[in-house]
Amino acid sequence: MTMKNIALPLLLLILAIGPAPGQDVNWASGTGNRNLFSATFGADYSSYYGISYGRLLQIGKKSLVAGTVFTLPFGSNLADDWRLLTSVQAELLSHGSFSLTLKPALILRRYESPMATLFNVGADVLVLYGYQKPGWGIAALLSYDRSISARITHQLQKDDYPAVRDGWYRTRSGNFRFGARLNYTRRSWGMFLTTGKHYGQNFKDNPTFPFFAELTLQKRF
Amino acid sequence: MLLSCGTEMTEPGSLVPLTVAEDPALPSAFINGTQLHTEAFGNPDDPLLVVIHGGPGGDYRSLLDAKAFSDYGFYVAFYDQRGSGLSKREPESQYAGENAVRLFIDDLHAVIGYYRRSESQKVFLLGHSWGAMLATGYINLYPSQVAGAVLAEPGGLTWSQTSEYLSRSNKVRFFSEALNDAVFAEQIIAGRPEHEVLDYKAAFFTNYENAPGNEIGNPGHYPSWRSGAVAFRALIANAEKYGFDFTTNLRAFTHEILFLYSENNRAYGASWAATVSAPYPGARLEEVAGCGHEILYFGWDDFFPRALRYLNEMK
Repeated sequence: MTMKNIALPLLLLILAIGPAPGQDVNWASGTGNRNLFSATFGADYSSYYGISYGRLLQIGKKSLVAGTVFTLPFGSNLADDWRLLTSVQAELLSHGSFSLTLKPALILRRYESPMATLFNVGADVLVLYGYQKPGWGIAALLSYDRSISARITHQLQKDDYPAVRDGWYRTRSGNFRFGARLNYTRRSWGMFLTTGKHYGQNFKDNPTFPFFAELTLQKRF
Repeated sequence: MLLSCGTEMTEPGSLVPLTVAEDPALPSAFINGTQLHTEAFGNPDDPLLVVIHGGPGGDYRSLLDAKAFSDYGFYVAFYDQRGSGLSKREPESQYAGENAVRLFIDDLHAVIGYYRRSESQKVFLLGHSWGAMLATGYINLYPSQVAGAVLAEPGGLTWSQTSEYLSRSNKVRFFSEALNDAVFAEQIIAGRPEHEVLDYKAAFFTNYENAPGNEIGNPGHYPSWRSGAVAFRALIANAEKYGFDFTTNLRAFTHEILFLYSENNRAYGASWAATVSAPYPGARLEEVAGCGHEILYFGWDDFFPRALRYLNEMK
C-alpha cells in the first residue's frame, strides 16, 4: 500500500472523529488555546515519527481532549507499516497540583513485510497520575495496549507453507507499559518526554526492545 | 463483530504446519523421550552422515540438498531438533536447566544410535551454524564415536565466542526497514503463551536476517518449516545463564575436520574461522564462494564438491 492509498482513509477517519487535540496535554496550562498540533519522535518496537492534531473540548465544567496520533516507523518503505491511535482523555481527579488522567483509545495498525501483511484493530487504556504545574509536570504512566483482531494476508510465508490461511484472526493479547512522563510548557509551546519499559501481558513474551521513549513537541493555538 | 469473528491463532495448521505429533503421515521416530521429525536416505550400511541444522529452533528443510551424499556412498540422516521444525513441541521447562545443551547432545547421540547399524559403521557429522556447534559439543563428549565432521560457520564453540559473533551478525540497524519487518508486529501479536503463536511470530525475524544488505550475506529468503521459538528463546537464555564450552576435550579428537566459512558473511570471514576452529587439532579451513551464512542452500554448487572430497578422504 502506498502513501496515496492510505491518505484518503486517514483523512476520512480524522474528519469522522472531528477536530481532535494532540495526545499529550498539560491540564494546568489553561484552556485558552483549543487546537493542539504535535510532532512526535520515539522508539518502542522500532524507531518512529509522527504527527497529531486535535482540539480541547469543554463539556459542562469538564475538559476533554480527543486526539489522533499517526505514527510511521523509520525505514525505506514509507507507509507499509503505520499506527493510528484515536483517543479521548479526561482529567478524572485533581487535588491541588496532583492530577489523574484516563485516556482510552482505539488503535488501527498496519504491518507489511516480505512474509505477510497484517491489518490490526486494537484498544489502549492509559492512566497518568502526577504532579502538574502550569509550566511543568511529572507523572507516572501505566497503559495496556490490547490487540483484538488482525487480518493476515501472507506472501513469502505461503511459499514456505502453502496451506497457511489468510483471513481475520483473533489476536486477543496485549502489552503493558510502565513509565513516566515529563512535560515542560512555555506560552503556546509544550514538550513532553515519555519513557519506560513495556512487557507482554504474560510478562514472558516481551517486546524485543524492552524500553520505550518518546519526545513530543506541541504547539497550541 | 471484531471481538467474535475470526480464526483462533492456535487452530492447528492455520498459521504453522502440523508437527509429527499432529500429523502421523510425517516421517518420525520416538527418540530420547521426544518425537523427532526425521528421515534418512541411501544404503543403511554405508557410512552414516548425520545432518544437523542451525538455530537453535531452525529445521533441516534448507539442508535437504545434502540428500545428494547418498548417491556417493553415504547413508544420510536428517532430523529436526527437539521442539523445532516439524518435531514435537516440548515445554519450555525442558530447556531451562543447566543441562539443557547436554539434552540436545543426548538427542544427537540417540539419533546416531537410531540409524547406526553396527559399531564398525563410521559416523560423520555435517553441521550448519548452531548445528556445527552442536556437532562440536558431541565430538567434545564422544571423540571416539565420530570419524569426521563438516562444520559450516559455527558461531562459536564457547558461549563468549558465540555471543561475540551474534553481536556482529545481528547488529541492530535501528532506523532500518528490516528492523520494522522483524519487530513491528510485536504490538499486534503480543504476550501470547501458546507455542504455535510464538512460532508464527518468530518467522517474522527472518525478515531481518535476510533483508537486503544483511550482515551475514544471505541473498534472500531460504525455506524452512517452522521456527521453534520456545526452543530458541529458552536455549539462548540458558546459554546466557550457564554458558557452555565445547572445546574442553577437542584435543582428543584426532581426525581432521573440514571447517567452512562463506565468502559473503561480513560477520565471519577467514580470521574468525581460524579463531573458532583453533581448538581442533586438525582443521582444514576452506572458503565457500558466492554465498553467505546459509552455505548449504545458497552455496551448494561450491559446497558440495568440497564436502564430498573431504568425506571421501575420511571414508
